[in-house]
Amino acid sequence: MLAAGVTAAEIIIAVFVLNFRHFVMSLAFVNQIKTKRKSGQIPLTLLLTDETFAMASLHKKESKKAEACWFYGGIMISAYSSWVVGSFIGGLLGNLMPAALSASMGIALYAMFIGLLVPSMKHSLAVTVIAFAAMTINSLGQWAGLTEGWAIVTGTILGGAFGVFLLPEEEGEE
Amino acid sequence: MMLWTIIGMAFVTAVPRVVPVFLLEKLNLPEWGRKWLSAIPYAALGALILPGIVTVIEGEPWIGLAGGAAAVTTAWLRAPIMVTVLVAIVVVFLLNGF
Repeated sequence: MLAAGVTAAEIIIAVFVLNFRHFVMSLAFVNQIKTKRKSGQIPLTLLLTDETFAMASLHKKESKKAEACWFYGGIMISAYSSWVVGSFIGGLLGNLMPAALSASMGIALYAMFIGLLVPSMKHSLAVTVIAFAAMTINSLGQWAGLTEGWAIVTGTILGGAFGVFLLPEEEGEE
Repeated sequence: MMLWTIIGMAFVTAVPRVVPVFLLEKLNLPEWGRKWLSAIPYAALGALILPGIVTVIEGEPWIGLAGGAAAVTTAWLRAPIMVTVLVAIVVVFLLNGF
């Protein structure tokens, strides 16, 4: 991007917007591990990504245990190490793999998100409504010309707001 | 210039993630606030899936949607996540190949 003549400030602002959704995710995640010490919370928030947030927040029960921070840290460190090792292998094999196959791999991340979401949707109509609301708001936002980053943030916050009315009382305690 | 860009990107990546630790330390959330936050994971997953999934194959949005539908069906039948992912890849590969 620098080579294309984009200024540093523009790049940094773009990165900020694309990363801002992790502020919302981190809020939800820190709330989940609220009883833990800051020395455990801070490293975990720094390692937070879309994928590890999804995994961690759907394993809520573990947050009550004493070793919760190590459990979540384990998820995050295995994710980061698989990235590094996977990228390395991908770099080595990139030319060997047919382009049609590597293009099809693009669905893998979405399929994982679906695989994480569907079991919760089966058990709860509220979860289904929340997820579909977020999808709709994000899609409308991007269609209306919002950047991807802001549309995801808007969809997540407004979709989550449905939870205030739909989730049962005890859900907040868990 | 390059170095400052990298430092700046690292800063805007790290700060939004850490700030909630200090925000929630001071704040005691009311019931509705806690409900809002517990809905965030589902909302975030929803927003991450759509509309991103239509861009899996450039210019062929229905292929991504078909792969997504296959993933929903597989997950609905309680398959493990790895199976869901593999089924979706195979469906997209077949649709994209023909």
